[in-house]
Amino acid sequence: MDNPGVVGAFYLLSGVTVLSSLAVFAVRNLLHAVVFLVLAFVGMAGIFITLSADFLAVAQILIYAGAVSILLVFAVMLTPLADRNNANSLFVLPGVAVAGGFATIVALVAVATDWNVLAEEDLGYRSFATTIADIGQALLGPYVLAFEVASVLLLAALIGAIVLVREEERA
Amino acid sequence: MIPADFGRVGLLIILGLSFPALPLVVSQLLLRAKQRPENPDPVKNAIYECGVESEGTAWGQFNARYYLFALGFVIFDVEVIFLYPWAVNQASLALTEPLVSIAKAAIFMGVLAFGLAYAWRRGALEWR
Repeated sequence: MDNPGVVGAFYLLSGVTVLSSLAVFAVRNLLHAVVFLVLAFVGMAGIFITLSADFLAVAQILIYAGAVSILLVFAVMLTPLADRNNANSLFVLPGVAVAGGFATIVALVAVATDWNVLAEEDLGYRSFATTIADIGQALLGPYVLAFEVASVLLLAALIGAIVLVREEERA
Repeated sequence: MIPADFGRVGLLIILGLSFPALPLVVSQLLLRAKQRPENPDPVKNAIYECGVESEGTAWGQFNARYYLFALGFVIFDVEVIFLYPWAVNQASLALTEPLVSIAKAAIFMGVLAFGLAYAWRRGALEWR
């Protein structure tokens, strides 16, 4: 991460992520809050790329910026207009307390952990390569059973969703 | 691919954001410089120049039936996460174990295709 462009991108994306996270908290309209949350997710994906975790970045884009935000948008759009207010929530103080406590714990752990940082000369031959090829080789090699079982888990989720919705319609 | 290679992606994002923003900014600057005429009228301010007039706002409440489609999207979105590492490795796997690697993904997609068939059979894809 010595490339000045990568370092600059890291701080730019961190700024985007932090500011849009604050905007989620600050905006009055719930749908605008969701849009800022998606921006924070995308910024986080960019941070993962600058940290050489490209599979994590793809997963972040697909799962969080794609799937989770779709579910949130639907959750907002399915609620009546009058309830779509991001302001004056009862949970502001508990939320700030929990988020502040969690951030403090993460910061303490990050400072206290022995990160086992590689020396400069070791970084030379350990050039950052894409992680996706290695993950794919592991997923299709030794862990192929887990790969196939994951599809069964997704199948169970799909059938469960259909059954739940159909039950509601019959009732 | 090292992080710096993703700089092209960042460049594309910056270009993509500036492409729609630039005409708006230039238009505003020309208006400030009194170089652009401004004569609004109802036809000019209409959302569409032609086509069906939109009614109401876009803020209405969605029909709850859409939720099943959102859930289906989430399931197949997660499927893509698992198929992505497989697809990246396919170029090398096609040389060493061509049929086996395709069979592994085919089984994976087959199980989910069964789920899609079940959804179709149960009428979950229909609008009722």
